[in-house]
Amino acid sequence: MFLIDPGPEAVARWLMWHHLYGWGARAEFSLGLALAIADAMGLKQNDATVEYLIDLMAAVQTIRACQTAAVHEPEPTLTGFCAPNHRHVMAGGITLFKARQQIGEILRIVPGSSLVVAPSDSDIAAPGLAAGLEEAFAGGGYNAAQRAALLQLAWDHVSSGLDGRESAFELHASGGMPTWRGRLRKSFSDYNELANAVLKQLDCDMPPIDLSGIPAAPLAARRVNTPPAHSPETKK
Amino acid sequence: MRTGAEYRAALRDGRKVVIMGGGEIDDVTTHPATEAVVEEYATWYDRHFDPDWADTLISPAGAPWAFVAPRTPEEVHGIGRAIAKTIFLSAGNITHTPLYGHLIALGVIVAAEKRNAGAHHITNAEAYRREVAESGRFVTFCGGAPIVGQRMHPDPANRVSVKKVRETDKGMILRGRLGMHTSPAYAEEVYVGSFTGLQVDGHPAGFIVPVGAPGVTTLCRRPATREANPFMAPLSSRYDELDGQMWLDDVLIPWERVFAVDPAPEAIPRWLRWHHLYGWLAKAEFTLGIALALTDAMGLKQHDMTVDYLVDVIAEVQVVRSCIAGAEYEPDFTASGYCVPNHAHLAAGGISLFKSRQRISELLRIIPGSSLVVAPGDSDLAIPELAQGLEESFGGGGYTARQRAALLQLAWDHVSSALEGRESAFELHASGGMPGWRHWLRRSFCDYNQLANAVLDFIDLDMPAIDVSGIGTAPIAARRAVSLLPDNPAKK
Repeated sequence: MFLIDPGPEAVARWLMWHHLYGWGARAEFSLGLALAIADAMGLKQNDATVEYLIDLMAAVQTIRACQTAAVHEPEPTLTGFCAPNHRHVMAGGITLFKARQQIGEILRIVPGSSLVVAPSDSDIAAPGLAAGLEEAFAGGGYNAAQRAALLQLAWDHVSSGLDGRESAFELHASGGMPTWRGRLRKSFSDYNELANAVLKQLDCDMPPIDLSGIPAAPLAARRVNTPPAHSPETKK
Repeated sequence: MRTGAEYRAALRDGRKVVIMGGGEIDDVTTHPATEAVVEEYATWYDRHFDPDWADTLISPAGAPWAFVAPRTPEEVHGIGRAIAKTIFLSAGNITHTPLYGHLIALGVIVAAEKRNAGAHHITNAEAYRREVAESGRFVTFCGGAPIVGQRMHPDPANRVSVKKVRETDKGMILRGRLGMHTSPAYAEEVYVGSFTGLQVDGHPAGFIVPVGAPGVTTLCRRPATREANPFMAPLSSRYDELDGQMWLDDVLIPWERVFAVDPAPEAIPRWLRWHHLYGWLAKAEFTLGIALALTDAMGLKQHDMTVDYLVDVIAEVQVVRSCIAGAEYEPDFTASGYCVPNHAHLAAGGISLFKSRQRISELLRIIPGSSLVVAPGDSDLAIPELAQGLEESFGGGGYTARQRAALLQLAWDHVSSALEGRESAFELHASGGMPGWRHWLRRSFCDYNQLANAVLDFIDLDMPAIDVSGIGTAPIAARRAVSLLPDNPAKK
């Protein structure tokens, strides 16, 4: 049993760093698959495909930059542990929350409709189908089994029950977008400095500005479930 | 470091400057279209003598960060901090400074080293950087590409910006017209890049044009339309750096100012895009600062939707800060050991801000409410028959009507003025726009094959090894070509 501070930062700040690495890994895996499929589908010189890949790279690289900044500008805890900088982690998380659906969609787009109709290994092994499937899915240095394996991997990654579970889980596990935004609000540190700095452009005396209440506000309380009022029918 | 007065004096060099719509001007230090920005640059120099700024602007070794050639991540960070703190002072509107010019000079060394067309080119580039650092001269950048009319010349051989008239033992004589670049009226020299197509010793050439040299004419764009009253236009009355074009009429470029350079976009622009991103960040941070100040002034600090808007802006600002920090903590090194910010991280930050910049401005237009549109000026507040009514309408909650109106006018000037329009139009072109930044990310992203082959480990089959490295090595897309249509009767 531990007497602990009930504020969400003490424990969660470590975990959110790890969450972001997890999301970053998922995004990198999506990019890896998209690159592999660009090769397998003979699309690495297709301009539209490369543009989709750059969309993925931009998301992945932003997270990498945020994590790099977080570990190079850490914040010490009271007892001297070195924690990653929360602001940089939050910025990365919010970016990925915005991008994650688009990342999934791009990986569904890049392979073309072959993604939807790719055969399985048992289909390819079926004597009545094998030759036709080889004709339909092999070529360009890949046999049908190899190309189909990649397509199935993509499907499993972004169109499966596992993908649906991952999305549903991550929208709640670390509090979802509202919490990441709330934590950025709490960890951003320049409220008064920025607000008062712009006043220097004005040629008149201005009241000093104090916005320290914005980050000091507690995170939004967990939502309250309102039970319905008992109706006469319910009483029956 | 030179003083602001010395900088002002250096601008009285006989330069020929024409303002579009305003004619030729005699002295940029006193003309109403240019004086205010000259003063900002003079203050930039003088700030280096201000003890309050010493920690920010002077390195531990006692040199101005503006002219340090970085060899370590700490030096990159020091330069970056100096950029960040000074560019915020103009809300990101003064995008070119002498520090930017020194980055150009650093880039010229790297471009010469990469091309490696002869030791004298590298030696000349190094000597030039030293001269810039020692003199504090202000250098600006021009890519050198032909302007639209030149690109439509009937003779393909004449579709160039500049031509070599002849060579002498002292240098080459050039004639032509150079396209958009920034602050030529305030700079002392312009580096012209390899888009001219000129060659030296059989290699692409970059060269330095002194703005005050005989035969040089600088044509500045028309100033952004603005109120003369600083209360109504606190930013655009001071920070309208003028972009321009340059005409060369038999101008001598000494050989020691002509460099054989690598034309790839990594050598010089990679330094400049770092500075560009700081400028965009400063604008976003300034927007956030005004939004925060207005949240206070409009009594909205506890209004949930307003705070949500603020968090939107904070998230965009913080992403770019993180990308810049990442770029400086994980730098790359040039062949000769200069330390440059990591390009992939910078590109990610630039792309993020390209996506969000319009939304950031809209949020600042939303937060104050419609008071932004109808805020009075100081002259309205001084009119006896309006004063009391305006005080009733705009005073209260710890702010006088004048104070609240001043903030609203600052917001308007920042995101709803001609200065804002110029900034947007300029930045969509100056560093290549979104296509350029996306392509630079494509070239600097480094894990293509590693990622593609790593996912194959999840497949229980022998798979072909994947090589997608060609995606990262593709050249930057060529500049768009203009279509030359046959003359139609109407034109004749």
